[in-house]
This record gives sequence, C-alpha cells and structure tokens, in this order.
Amino acid sequence: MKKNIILLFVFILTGMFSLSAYATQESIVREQYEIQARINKIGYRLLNSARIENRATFQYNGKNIVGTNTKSGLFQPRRITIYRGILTHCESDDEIAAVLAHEISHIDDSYKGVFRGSLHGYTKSYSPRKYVYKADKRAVDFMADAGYDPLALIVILNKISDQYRFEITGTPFASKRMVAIYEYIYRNYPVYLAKNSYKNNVFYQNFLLTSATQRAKLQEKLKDEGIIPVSNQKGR
Amino acid sequence: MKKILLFFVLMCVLSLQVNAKQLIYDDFVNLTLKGYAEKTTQKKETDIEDEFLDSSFYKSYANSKKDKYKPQSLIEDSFVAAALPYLNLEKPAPKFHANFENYKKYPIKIHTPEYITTKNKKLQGQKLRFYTMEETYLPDGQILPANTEINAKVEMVSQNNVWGVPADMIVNNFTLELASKRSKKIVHNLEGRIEKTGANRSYWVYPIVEASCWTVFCAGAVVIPIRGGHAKIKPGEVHTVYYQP
Repeated sequence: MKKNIILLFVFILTGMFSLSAYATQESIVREQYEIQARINKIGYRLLNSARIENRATFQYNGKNIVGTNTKSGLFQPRRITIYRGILTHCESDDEIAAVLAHEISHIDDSYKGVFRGSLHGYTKSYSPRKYVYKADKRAVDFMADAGYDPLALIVILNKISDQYRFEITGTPFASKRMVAIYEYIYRNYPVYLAKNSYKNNVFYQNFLLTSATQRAKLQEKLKDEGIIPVSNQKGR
Repeated sequence: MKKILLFFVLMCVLSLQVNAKQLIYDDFVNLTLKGYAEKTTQKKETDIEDEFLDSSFYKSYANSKKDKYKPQSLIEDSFVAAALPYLNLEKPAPKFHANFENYKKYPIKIHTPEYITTKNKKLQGQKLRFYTMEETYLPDGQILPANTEINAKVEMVSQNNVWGVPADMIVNNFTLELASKRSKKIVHNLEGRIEKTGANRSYWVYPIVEASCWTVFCAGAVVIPIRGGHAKIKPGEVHTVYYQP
C-alpha cells in the first residue's frame, strides 16, 4: 500500500514538472511571438510609409547581443536581425523604429548599383562612415514619414553606441553621429526639436550635456551659412 | 507486480529527464549572478544601524553631501531656443495612411531648368522647382497645363568619398498646388522621388590598388584619393511623379 502511495506521489510530481516545463517553453514561444510581431509591425510600417519598393525582412533573435545584423551582401538574404540585447535598451516603439529605420536604409542601398546591387557591399566596405551617416539621415526621414519621433534615434544611439578613442573601426564616433542627426533634424524637421517630447528624458539630457561644444560649433556654422530652417524659407 | 511497478517508476524518471531538458537556463545569469539574490536578502537581514554616525556630526555632513548631489535642473537646448522664432512648428503628416489598393496614378512628366549637383554643399534641405513638360489630364476633368510649377525638396545628400565612392542625392516631397472649385488653392502631395547617385569609381579604384600591391610596390595607392562622382540632375532631364487622387 505504502509503495503504491509513493508511486502515485512520484507520478504526480513528475506530471507537475513536465507541466511546468511545458508552460515555460510555451511562455518563451509566446514572448518571442509577441516581440517578433511588434518588430514586424514597426518594420513594415516604416517600409510602407517611406514607400520603399524594395523588400526587407525582419527577424528577432534571443541572443543577448546589443546590436543588429543586416545581411545584405552578395549571397545574403537582405534580412535585418534584431537581437534581444538591443531590445532591452528600447523603451518605446520609436526607439525600435529608430534601430530598424537605420538598417532599412542599408538594405535599400543594397538594391542599387550594377548586377542588382551585387557590388554594393564592396563599395560600402571602403567608405563605411559615409554609409553610416547616410543611413542615419534616411532613418530620420523614414521615421518622420511613419509618424515616429526621429529624436528617438539620438536617444537610442546615446544608450547603445560605444565611444571609441579613434575612428579605426570604420564607423564614426557616436558623438559625431548624434550631432549629425541633430543637425539633420534641425534642418529638415525642426518641429520635433521645438516641441521636444524627449525634453525630460535622461538620455536626451545626457546628449545635450555631452554635445554642448559641438552644438555651439553647429550654431556658429549655421550662422555663417545664414541658414534658417528650410521649412521656413520663402523660395530659394 | 513488482516488475510493473519498477517499469512505471522508470518511466516516470525518464519522462522527468526528457521534460527537464526543455527548460532553458540563462547560463550567463547563473554564472555571474549566482547567489546574488540570497546575498541581497541577507544584506537586508544583517543591516546594522551606525549609531556612531547617527550621533556624530558626520550625519549632518552626509546629509549635506546628499543635498549636493540632488538632481540638477533640466539642461535647456539653448541652440533650439535661440532659433525658435524661425522654426516652422508644423508637423509633417505621417504617410502610413496611404491607400495601396488604389492603383490609379496619373503620371506627370517634369523637368527642372536648373543644374542641381551635390558639389553645392548647401544643397541638403533646399527647395527645388520643377515644371510640367506637357498638359496632363487629371481626374474630375482637370487639366494641368504645361509649365505648371511643382515644388520639391532635396531630402538627403550624402557626399562622395575617396576610394571612388560616389555621392547620393534624394529629391522628395513633391507638391502641386491646384485651384479648387471654391477658388482656394489646395496643395496635393505627389508620389515618387528622384534618387541620383554619382559615378561609382570604386569598381576600378580598388582593383588597381590591389593589383599594384601584388606587382609594383603599392604604386597604385596613388589612385586611392580619387573620389566618386557627384550626383546631379541636369536641366531638361525628364522625371516622372504621380498624382494619386
């Protein structure tokens, strides 16, 4: 009798373990499904709003890497992989949109050039800085078209981009990139700066703190050029 | 009976192992934060009040330190504040409400009389004027006469670079002003954009450099400073944008 009771106990215990394991797996799948759905929704909204007639796909990867992987080389599938590590830094859809918009620009570029853009990766490898700056600018356009706040690009860059000592990694300094984005927003979409929804955001505040010198230089530069925001100009 | 029971127990144990494999453990957390939770709870339990600090002048010192590191006031963007009177506070309308099922598009052929090139460093963000090439029939019987002005904007300019990397330019935001029945002018957004890229010289610059490195000692390196071509729109060049009712 005792044996039977013990066996029954073991049986119930095993069942509970397997159920909990199943539930855990189910919750992981559900979480992945929700994140993937969110990324797809934002990604395709960007593609449609910016009227990008070239295809791109989006994939979520559970690895804890703070970054993305855009496969747009010669035999690669033009897919944007966004890792869990970078998503942990994104606090809103605007910030996810910022990450995706930058990568979409790289994908869009990969369609241009001879042999269906086969040699684009080759050209890009000689001047990565130019293409990074270009992707940042395009990202701002895509975000504004899709109704996202382009200042989110500065915020997410401030969180995830490391500041190297020298520009030897091919990509420009994060600080330079942020100021370039700021300048681009100022020239093309000044309303986002005037009605700044990130005004109280600590990361944006940090950008204002760290970019004070560069912004002062920018102010002088624009003064010298006699530039007032484009949207306020009358004629040319 | 014993054999059946033994078999049953074995099955239970086996199923336990199989299902346990499905659990995914975060190795990184296990490795680095092992015992962290216990430590934090222990810390709470073993918190000891510093009676000396409470009763001494250090308490007031600590408080003054705290005051010093209180969050500072918000950093104002003086640059934007200075430019505020010049800023256009009209938010661009999002374009994601487009009707992609509507295939009815009315092509409008346009050209510009100006020579637009990325050599002009101030080109980015400039307004451009295009003109219709010919009469265009729009829905509702409207006729768009030739030489009608169409406004556009140089949305993005990416300058050329060494290694023969070309410049890029995108002209977008085409708008057309049409007189409505109430004689008020309505601005219509037109579909389409002009994307221009300069001559891509990297296709031959890199092979020359590479080949020279294998033959003559890096003689081909002299071609590295060669820049790619500028993107340009020539006067009279015909482009097509679309009117979508």
